[in-house]
Parts: sequence; C-alpha cells; structure tokens
Amino acid sequence: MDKIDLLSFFNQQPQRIKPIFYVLIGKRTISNLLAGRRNHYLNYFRAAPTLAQTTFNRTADVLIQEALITETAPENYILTVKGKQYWQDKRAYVYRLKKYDGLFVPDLDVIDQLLGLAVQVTSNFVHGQTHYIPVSNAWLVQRRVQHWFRHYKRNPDFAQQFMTELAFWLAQLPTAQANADYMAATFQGYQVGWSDLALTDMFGLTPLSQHFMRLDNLTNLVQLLKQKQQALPMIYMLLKQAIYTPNPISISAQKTWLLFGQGYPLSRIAARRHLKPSTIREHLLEVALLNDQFDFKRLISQDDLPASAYFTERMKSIQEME
Amino acid sequence: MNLEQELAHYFGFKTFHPGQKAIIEHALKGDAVLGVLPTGSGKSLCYQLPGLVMHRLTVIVSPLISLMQDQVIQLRQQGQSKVVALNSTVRKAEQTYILQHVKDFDFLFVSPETLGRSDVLLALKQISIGLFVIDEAHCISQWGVDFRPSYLQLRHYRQILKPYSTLMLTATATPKVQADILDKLGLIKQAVRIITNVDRPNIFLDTVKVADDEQRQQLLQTIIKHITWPGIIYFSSRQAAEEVALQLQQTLHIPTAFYHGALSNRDRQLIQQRFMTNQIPIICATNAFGMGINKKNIRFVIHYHAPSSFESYLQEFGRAGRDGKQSIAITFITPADAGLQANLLASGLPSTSMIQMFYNEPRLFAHTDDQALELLRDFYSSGLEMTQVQQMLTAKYQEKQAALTEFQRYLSAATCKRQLLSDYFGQKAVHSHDDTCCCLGQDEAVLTTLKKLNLYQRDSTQQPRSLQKAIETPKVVHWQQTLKQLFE
Repeated sequence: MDKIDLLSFFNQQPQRIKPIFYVLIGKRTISNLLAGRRNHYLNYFRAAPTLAQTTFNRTADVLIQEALITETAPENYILTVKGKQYWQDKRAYVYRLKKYDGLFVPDLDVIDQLLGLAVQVTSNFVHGQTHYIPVSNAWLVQRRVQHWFRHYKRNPDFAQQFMTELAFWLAQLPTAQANADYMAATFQGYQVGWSDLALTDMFGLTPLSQHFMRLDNLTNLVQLLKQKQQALPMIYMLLKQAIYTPNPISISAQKTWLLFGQGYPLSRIAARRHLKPSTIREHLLEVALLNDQFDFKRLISQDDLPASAYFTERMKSIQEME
Repeated sequence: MNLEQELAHYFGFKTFHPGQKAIIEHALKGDAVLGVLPTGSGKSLCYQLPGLVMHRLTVIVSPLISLMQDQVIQLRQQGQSKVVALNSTVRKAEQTYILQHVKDFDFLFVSPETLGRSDVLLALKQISIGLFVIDEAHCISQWGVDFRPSYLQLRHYRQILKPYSTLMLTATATPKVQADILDKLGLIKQAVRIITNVDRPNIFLDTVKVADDEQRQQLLQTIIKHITWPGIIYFSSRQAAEEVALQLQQTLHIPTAFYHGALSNRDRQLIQQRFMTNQIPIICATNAFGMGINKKNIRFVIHYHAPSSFESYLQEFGRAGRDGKQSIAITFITPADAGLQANLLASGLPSTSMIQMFYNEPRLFAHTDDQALELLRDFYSSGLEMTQVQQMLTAKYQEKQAALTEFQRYLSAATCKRQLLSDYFGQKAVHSHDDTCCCLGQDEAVLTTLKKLNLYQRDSTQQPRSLQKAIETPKVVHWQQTLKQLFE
C-alpha cells in the first residue's frame, strides 16, 4: 500500500484510521460499516481482502510521521495542508472506485479468474500452444473453463466471437484513465502478458489503484451481463454462475428483520430467536445501515428493551446519514 | 505388473532413474519407504506412478503452497485431470466441493495444517487411501534446518488414515535426519530405506572469491555475457535480486526477471511461464524460486550470495542440468558474506520476548505477516508449550549455525568439493576427482573453466537461438490491438 493510496481516504472531516483497514479487508462490524458510511468509503468494503495489517499500519505511521495527516482529537485524523498539497501533486497515481460497491457485488475474484483463464486458454489454443502455466489453479475455475472451452471450441469462429464480446465490454469502459487499455494489458495469453511492475510503469497507477480499477471494470462487466446478456452469450455462459449478487444483509439479520416487519416487539424477537437482546439490536443496526427501506418510526413503537445509549446513538447517526 | 511398461504408458519414459523403481516396488507392496533422492532425479515420479497404478487416492503432504501448486500443474500438464490441492489459499466453496468429492480424485496435495482439520480427516477416513506421501520429509526432523512443527502431527494423522503404504521423500537428509524422520513417524523398525547418491556428476562445482560487492557485480556481468543460458542467479535478499536483474537488463540487454516471495501470484506465474518457454533466459531469484521448477535445460546456477547450508545448496544447484548435459554451479564468496549469513539466520527466528508476547495473547498477532511470527503460529497450533518452543528454537538456531559453519568450511576448502558434499550426507563419492568435477579450492579463471566445460559463448549471438529475445519495453497499447495479439 502506497501512502498516497491511504491518504486518498482523508479529508477535513476527523476520522479514525483503523476502520479504513477493516472496511478494505471486509471485516463486517456495525462500527466499521458506520465509519465507512459516515466517511464515504463504505463502497471499498472488501476491496483489498488480502491487505496485511502490518503493511497498513506501516503506511499509516508514515502519513503521521510526515505530517500528511494530523490528530485533532484522540485517534481522529484530518488531512493537513501539507497532505492536501501532496494529494494534489500525486493524485494522478490513484484510482478511486466509481462502480464497485463491495456490499453489493458478487465475488469478483472468481469472475476475474474465470475470465483470465478463458482468455489464456483461447489465446493459446488459437496459436497452437498446449503447454503453459494456467493463470488460475482453482479446481472449480479450471473445471468451469474446461467445460466452457469444450462447448465452444468446435465452432471455428469461437475465438473471434469471444474477442468481439470482450471488445463490446471494453468499449463501454470509461476512457479518462484508460480503463480498457489497462484491462486488456492484464490479460495473459500466447506470448502476451505484462508483470505488475510493468503495468505500474505503463499506466502510472499504484498497485492498489490498479487493483481498484480492475474491480471497477469487472463490476461494469457484471452489470452489462445482467442488462445485456444477449450481446455477450459466450461470456455469460462462462460467468453466469458467478454473477449472482448475494444479499448484503446477513441471514440472521434478515430473519430478525422479517419478524420486526411482522410487528413483533424486540423482546419477543429475542425470545423467539433465542438470541441476546443486544444481538437483535445489532441486526437492526445492520439492516438500517444497508437497506434504505428501514422504517425508523416503527422502531420507536416496537423497541420495548431497556434503553441503550450505544444503540440509540448509532441509530440516530444512521438516520442522519439517510 | 511390468513397471517399465507402466512408466512408458503414463510418462513416456523407457527407464527409471536410480532408486525410483525400488521405491515404487515397495510402495506397491504396501511398505513404508523412506526415499532419499537428489533434486532433479525424479522424486515426484515415485508417488505419481504407483498412485496411477493403484487406482486409489494418493495423499501428498507438502510443506509449501507454491510447491503444491507447481506439482498440481505438472500432473495436469501430463494429462492427469483428477489432481487437486487443499490448503489455506483455496476458497471455502471449493474446499467443500473437494471434500465432498474426494474419492473421485487420484491425487490430493495437502498442507499438514489442513490435513489436521477435523473435517478433512473425517472425509479422508471414509475412503481407502492407497499411498500416503510425506514430501520434503526432512521437515519433520528437529535436526534439520527446515524443521516444521506441524509435521510432527503426521504420525498421528497416518494412524487415523491407515493408508495402504507410506512414502517419505526428501532430497537432503543426513543419516541423523533420516533416523529422526523414521523415529518421528514411528516407522523406525518397519520402514525400508532407499538412499541414492546426492552426487550430480554433470554439474561442475565452482567457487569464486571476490574482494567486494563491486567486483562481484563486474564478474557476474562478465560471466553472464559468456556463459551458456538459461540459468538462475540466487540471492539472499529480494532487493539485491531486483537490483542485479535490472542492472543485467540495462547493461547487457538480456531479458532478465527477478523473482521473490513478495511478488504477486500473477507475476510469479508470468515469470515462471516466460522462463519455461525461453522468453526470459536469466532469473535473479531468492530461494522462493525453484521448488517444482522442472526445466530440463538450465545450464547454470550462480549463488550471488552463498547459501546457508549444504541442504539449500544442493536443492538450489540441483535445478541445473536435469537433461544430464554439462552444467555448472558457481558460488561467489566475499569476506563479508559470513557475517551477512549469520545475521540472516537470526532474522527469521522469533526472539525470546516475541515468543512471550505471542504466547500471552496470540490473537493480537493474527493479521501480521512476519516470517518469525508465522513460525510461531505453526508451533502454537501444534500444541507446544512456550518453554518447549523456546528450547526448540534455541536448538534450531544452533543447528542452523552449525550447518552454516560446516558449509562455509566447504566453500573455502582446497580439497575436492564433490567429496566434501558426499561426506556431509554420509555417502561415498561415486567418481574420483577430474577436470569436470570441481574447482578444487577457488576458481581464479572462470571463463577458462567455462571453455573447458564447453559452456562458453563468444557473445549473445552464439546463445541457443530460442533464447535470443529482445527486451520488451512496456508501453501502453490500445486495447483493440492487445485483443488482436491475443486472438489472431
């Protein structure tokens, strides 16, 4: 993680550093989700699941040491004048997410692997190359691509058709930061493929920003497949099992919400579900945060549990953000 | 059963390498076998062939995820489709699928930590396991420099799984380590030992003394200019590997890549692929590169920084000359190296205070990616007490130090290096010293040695044609052009 990557999350609004890490790796607690929503980075949820805490902490320390951010209240930091200048100078190296929203997307890593392997297999097939190291070793990914490839390879025009579909998608990507050129450059095929270092040189983005651009591009593909699947039959066939978007609300919270919707008071929901009252309240906070249909007025009439400042404060914050 | 016929049928080879047939015969008879075969002598085939012939699941315990992946790729490239790896990098959905369908696979590669999971043991207990393979078996020995605490549990897992036969494989095990492997697995009485010679007669063993880093860099450039490619240059630091790769590329205009553990999976795959297909003739790497690399025509392995033990040395230079043709292993020595290696030994091991802090609150260290902490996590999950861990780590450090001292003695010795190598592994040297054996002491004229071994090229135009590639300069091209390159 480059310091400019982390700096891009700061502004004049005081905020804690740790929730940024937890949102990036996808640690789902009310407090992290709330911090992400409040500071406008909740869409980065699970955008960097393999980011190491030591790397993140080291980067945060550098921002503090170099006075690019400063503490205004305990554990709360804002961008300094120096930080603002630094951001102005280096912002071209950073890509901010535009399409991706981590709570509302399917597993893009699987989609990435399926697509990357399909490109590699097709490219090598076209050039008669049979021995190469696959870009994905995942058993299910390889199996899926194998089935897909067997299905299409009898068609003499299949590579051309696949290329046309990829072109249809890439043509839809925004041009300001060369999203399509970048995406195509990340493909590996017969004697084609660049290392991450080369891609950094070519596109002038930090490695994390490249990853974010990739997420945006893949999100675009998922949306395209949902809207215009007839234009991309081969890609749809390849990815159809992977583009399902799960409900961002956890199953347990959904059950609580269902009972809440049926008018049960919170104490009854807790008793019926054999859960602690505090867990029921956590579920409602989760729903209130992630579903804009949540009825705050109804909560007043159904909340018969002893008052909790923690719950009330958080619910109020969520309501204010609506 | 005619094993030669099976070998030809599955792998297309006519004959076995020394030791392979005996190991396979014992495995097929249901014995427990310890096989010590040098790197590059076809260890993997010792379980691949019986695994295919038995038509029952072969479980291979492997210490490194990258090694597992390489072996899975190799088997799949040989046409074996029912091969899978199970480790922490595999997604949850995929793990569930593998465990539900485990009986349908021929080969399952698994890390010791994953094997110990109750769901994994339960799934495997319900099927009949033909062969239980412990790859890199020296990791179980506390006398070995690569000791892995999680390997200690394998005795218990083996008892639960009750495989038909057990195969322990390693390329580097002294008699003391061999005994320890069998003891730790409870097989000291019944196991058969098949020990082949560690000697690789087609690799010339060379050491070159240089005054400092500057001289080393200059000499390296001279060697690379004239030595027959392809080859690997090993470094003890990632930074040095990167710097020298860049330098070689800029000054000699030879496509050169660097490879180390901090690279992304994507980059590792790409570099391996390019090295295998001769697009890159030179790799500057740390010891992260090489396990499972099965490129036959590697002509040289250069240790820019000397390794820290005979075991590492043997593993690394053993990647050269797998096609049996003349190759060379060159090791540079500088006066500063000894101190550098000693420092590196300590850096990968946790300090006493770190052990205490970790044991007081292990959860605090869950997200950290430090090498020493990784080792501690391994000890901790093996159920070892803090005092035991402290004792074991002290012993490990002493063992590593002793191995380093021994290896440094080898590097500076004025006698036959092949003899010393064989002595260390408790074996007799197969060949007596001659011109193609080693440099006897220090090599004062490396280029003359290369000429003598027929590994000298006047310039890069004399290199094998397939390796003469121009350096690709990264530049942004329009996506439509990239698609055309890929598919037309």
